[in-house]
Amino acid sequence: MLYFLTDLMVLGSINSIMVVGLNLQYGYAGLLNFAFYIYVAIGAYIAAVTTMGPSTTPGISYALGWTLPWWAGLIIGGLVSAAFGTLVFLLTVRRLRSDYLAIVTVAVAFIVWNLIDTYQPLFDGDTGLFNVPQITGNASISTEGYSAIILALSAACLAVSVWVSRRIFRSPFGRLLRSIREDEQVTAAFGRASWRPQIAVFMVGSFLAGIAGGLLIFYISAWSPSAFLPLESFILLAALIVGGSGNYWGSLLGAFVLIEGLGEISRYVPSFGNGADVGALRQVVIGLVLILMLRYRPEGIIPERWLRWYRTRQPAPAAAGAAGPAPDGGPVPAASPRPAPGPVASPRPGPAAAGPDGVLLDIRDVTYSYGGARAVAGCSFAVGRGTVTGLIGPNGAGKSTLVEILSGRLAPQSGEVLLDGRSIGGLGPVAVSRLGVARTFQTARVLPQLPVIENVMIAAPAQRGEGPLAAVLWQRGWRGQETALREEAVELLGWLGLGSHLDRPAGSLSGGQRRLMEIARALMARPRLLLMDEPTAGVYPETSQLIARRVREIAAAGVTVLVIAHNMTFLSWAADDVVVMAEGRVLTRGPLQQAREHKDVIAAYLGVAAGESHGPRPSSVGGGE
Amino acid sequence: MSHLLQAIGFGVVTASIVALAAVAVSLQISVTNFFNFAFGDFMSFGAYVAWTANREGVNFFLSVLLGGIAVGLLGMLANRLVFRPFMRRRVRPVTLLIAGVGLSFVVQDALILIWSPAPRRFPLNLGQAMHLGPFLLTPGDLIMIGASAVLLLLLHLMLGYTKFGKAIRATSNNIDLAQSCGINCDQVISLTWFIAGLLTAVAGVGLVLQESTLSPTTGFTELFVIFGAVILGGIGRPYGAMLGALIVGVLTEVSGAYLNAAYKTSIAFGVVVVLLLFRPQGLIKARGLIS
Repeated sequence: MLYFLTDLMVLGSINSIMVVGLNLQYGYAGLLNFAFYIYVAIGAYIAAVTTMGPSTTPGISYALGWTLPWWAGLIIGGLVSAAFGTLVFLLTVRRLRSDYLAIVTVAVAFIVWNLIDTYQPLFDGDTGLFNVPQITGNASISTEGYSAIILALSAACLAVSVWVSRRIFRSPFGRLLRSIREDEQVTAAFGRASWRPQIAVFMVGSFLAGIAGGLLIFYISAWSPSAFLPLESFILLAALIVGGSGNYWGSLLGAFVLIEGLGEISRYVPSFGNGADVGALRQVVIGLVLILMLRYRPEGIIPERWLRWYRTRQPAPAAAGAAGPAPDGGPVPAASPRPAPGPVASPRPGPAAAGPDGVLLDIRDVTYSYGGARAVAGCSFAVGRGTVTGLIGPNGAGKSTLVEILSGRLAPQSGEVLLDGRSIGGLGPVAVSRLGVARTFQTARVLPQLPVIENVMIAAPAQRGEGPLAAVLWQRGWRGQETALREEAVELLGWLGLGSHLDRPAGSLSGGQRRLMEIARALMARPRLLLMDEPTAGVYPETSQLIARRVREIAAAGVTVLVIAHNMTFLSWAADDVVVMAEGRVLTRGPLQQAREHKDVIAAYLGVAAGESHGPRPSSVGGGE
Repeated sequence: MSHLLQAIGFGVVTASIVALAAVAVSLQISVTNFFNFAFGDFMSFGAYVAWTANREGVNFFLSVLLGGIAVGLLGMLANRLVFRPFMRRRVRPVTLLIAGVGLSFVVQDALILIWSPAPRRFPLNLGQAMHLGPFLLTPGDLIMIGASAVLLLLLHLMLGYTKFGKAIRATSNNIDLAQSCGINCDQVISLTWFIAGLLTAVAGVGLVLQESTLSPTTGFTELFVIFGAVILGGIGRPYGAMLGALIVGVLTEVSGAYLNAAYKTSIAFGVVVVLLLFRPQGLIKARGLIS
């Protein structure tokens, strides 16, 4: 009975290490690796052949045979597995959408499996390896005693894995991974390329798989290709999803309940007459549980959000009062544009070395075509430092395409974009963001599963602890910074009227709240240039008013704003002047009122738009500030 | 030389089976935009139904048709009970893929419970292999090539020249727009599952004829070869899938003829992976493949 329990605990711990590793890849980073078990197998094989002596039996052949001590074999197994993971990542992950990636990982794994199974000199082909030395060496020890030793070892490894997972989860690195998982494009728009953090976490996950494999082979002392069929990977995945992906406690629970628990229960089910074993029934149950969990509780038994380790302080009453009611619900007290609290200072303008002409952004004859359709056809204008420029024009005028070019997502096909005299055309969103350009999206893009506060914090530039090593080993380096960033984010969110929604998942925000959160996120990046793509589309009028006021204050703090809008009232409040685009070109430029009276503009835009009530008719303009 | 031609001949047989399966996968993806992970098990199911009917004395072709109808209904059921609720919630494609893993567990092991894990023989005695020019083919091979060609031609005609085909293409292009233009997309998707199911079962029987045994994992084993052909051809592009299948099928057999035959599937996978390095969107450009 005792032996039975130890055995169960050993296998449970080893499976848990695997699920914790899979969680790092899928739960944290959203990288679906359908061939996880191949990494376990690689770790096991390498641990075996590095610790075994050279083969002396004729007919049995395998590589290496280095007779290393067990711990060296274990670590080398983990490292080889991690190296293999890196290779697969470089071959596939960067290029494909995640579900296609999952399929390609299986193809790669199959090749490896096929090689191991067929090419005998590697690991003795389909016979597999036997008599792998025990970690106690030649000392004679009872089976019970040995399993107790392995239990201690695997429990220790599991504890370390969970500790590493926990550190990563709480660190800026973990937040960055979650952000990539939720939306790579948003993460790139705030200056972070995906592949570096992803490759790091993929490596750590594969390393844990290799370690688990090593432990397993030292415990059962034999391994063959039939021990790692594709099925194993899927059972680990099912355990992760049922337990709760993203949450390391969920990984442990899933491993113990789904793999060990179901395995034990199915021992007591009588077998069927036709030779089908209970395993088949167990698989049916696992499949059903997986589908039902995905449908009714996709976050798993223990959801990721239960791992909240911080309590966000609500902003000071003054700030909260200014924007207390939900921006979409109640009216925002708008009687007088009150001086904003602290955060006005927080958008830090870039180096004050103003160009001679005070121009921050200079767009010169930029063109862009989608296939044959010319979206931007030789567009030129300049934007002065610290000003708010509205960008208007009928649908299809090329406004959004221009913003995509300015933010680096599209490369101009000809022409130049100069930021402070430096050409930024075609640099890509990551580099452009790092030069001080932040943006909001035409349809607000939030990271739905992350709390609002984390959505904002990801944007802060140059955070410490965004790399795996610093995240795990140098907590002191980022702890203080985290507190400061959190306070800054709280302040910004309060300033934008989201003070009471800090810890809500961003996916539960309303349309208007999402727009406000996007502004907070963009400011968190401390931009020089803020690009806003229709910040007031589909937004309650009072919220538009709040946004207009905040835009003025942002500009007053020295940030240059370029804002696309169809809402003339909003522009009359917020913009210093407007650029009117039509058919990819600048039609005219000047104060809003003047632009609206321009005869070409009326022809191109207002003649159509006024009838569709995009904004008030010219006669009703003049309100606002 | 004759060796090579012979291998190409086998390759065409394999390709015609893989093409049927890959087109079925591709057709379903074109309207639903996710991989049905249980597809391999659907093939096995179709083959089992056909095998059972054939054993009970039903004519071979009729029993294949019965298998097709069974898989078609299974596809509609899976769509209704498993996949559609997820699609309504607009979850990420990965979630649908994992739900498919669950479904694969259920279907594959239900096959074991119903038909037992023991491999079955599915003999089809239609006569000796014969020489056709440089190729050595059995009547079964010829039937497969013929069936594949006819079915794919019918599919082509349906997609291109019927109202329903137009509805499929509209749904595939933009489901919301199609819906608001008065196309009943639920119905289109459901029928697409059915049609894909028909092709699936024929491909499943083809696999069994080629290997001459049938087991609960017959289809699953070939799943990734088929997915490879689909990805290679350009996801959601039925014609690309045919091209991908041809490449995969011929490569598999030709490399099997010259190298250790045990590696033939690996070589096909290797080529798929390498080609994707250079052309991640597939041979015929797929939509939304690149993240």
